[in-house]
Amino acid sequence: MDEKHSEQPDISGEGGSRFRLKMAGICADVTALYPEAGKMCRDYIADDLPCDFEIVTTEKDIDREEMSSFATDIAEGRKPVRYRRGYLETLAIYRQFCDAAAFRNVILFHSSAIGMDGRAYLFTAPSGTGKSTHAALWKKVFGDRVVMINDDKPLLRFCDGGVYACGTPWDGKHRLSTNTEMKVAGICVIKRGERNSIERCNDPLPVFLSQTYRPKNPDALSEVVRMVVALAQNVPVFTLTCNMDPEAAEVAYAELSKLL
Amino acid sequence: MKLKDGIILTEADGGFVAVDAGISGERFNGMLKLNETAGFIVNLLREGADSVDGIAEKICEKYDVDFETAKANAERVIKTLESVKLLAE
Repeated sequence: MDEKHSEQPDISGEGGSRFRLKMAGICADVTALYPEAGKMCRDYIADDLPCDFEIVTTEKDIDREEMSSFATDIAEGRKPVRYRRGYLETLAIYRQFCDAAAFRNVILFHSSAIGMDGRAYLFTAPSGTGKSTHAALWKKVFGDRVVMINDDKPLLRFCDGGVYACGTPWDGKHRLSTNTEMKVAGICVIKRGERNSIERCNDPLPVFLSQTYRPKNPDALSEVVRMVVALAQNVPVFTLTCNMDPEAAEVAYAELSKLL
Repeated sequence: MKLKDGIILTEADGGFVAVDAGISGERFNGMLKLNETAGFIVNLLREGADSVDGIAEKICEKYDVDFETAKANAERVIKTLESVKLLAE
């Protein structure tokens, strides 16, 4: 490898990688055992910025992710899959990142985050409800006006000016994300229905908490809960009952665009 | 009568939410919304209060209610905490 670029992730070899990852305005130095993490994060490398904290993974961390993925598969009624170590390591890295990010005003909110005309809209729901399917309808209806910020696990950054949805490479099975951030204008909790309708959601906290990554450390969790409460209080939230017709995106946009 | 370890209490909507840090996974139900008095009671438990009478006395000091009302209130909140498994066994 070229000397000058020795800080770049090792994306060719079989070994691990070291790289400086920047997401949601936070920089972490990552030391990974497997090459997948470096490959996956290549659009989010920032060698020129100061590092906020370090992420180092061990085989034990990866074992833990394997058990946790197994438990999730069972709990959600899927046949457990044997995941690659390198893939499981990426989960361990994101977990460490989010544990530390909680103290820096950033949370992981399980949702499909799209950007349109400079504003972000989030669609959240339990797995399998159709977050990505709905987001894809926006792309179909509104075309290039729509940017996929992150189709599965965006980070939300809280600051005085509002809440910003931030791209990350942990972006779901269709691998859809953009390294960008946009202010969140509205959130829809998605429900499947025969017809399309949208109404204000008055009590989003339970679903928000269930769809937010919750660190084990009580101090970190306390920060996360504080941010989730702020999200529920400060951002307009709707319940979107929808089918899979493009009309669903039009119905959602008709209401969300009133927020502008 | 002791609050489980890792219960997070945060102000929200003029009251509080209590969240159980021990529950993981997406199908999460370890959350309880509390009004101001209930939040006050949970806080007393967190600080080590261990008798209903003691809690009732503290409620009487803070709010303008008689002891019996305060005690009934405390018992009701503790029952709710039990039912959503926020109290240690």
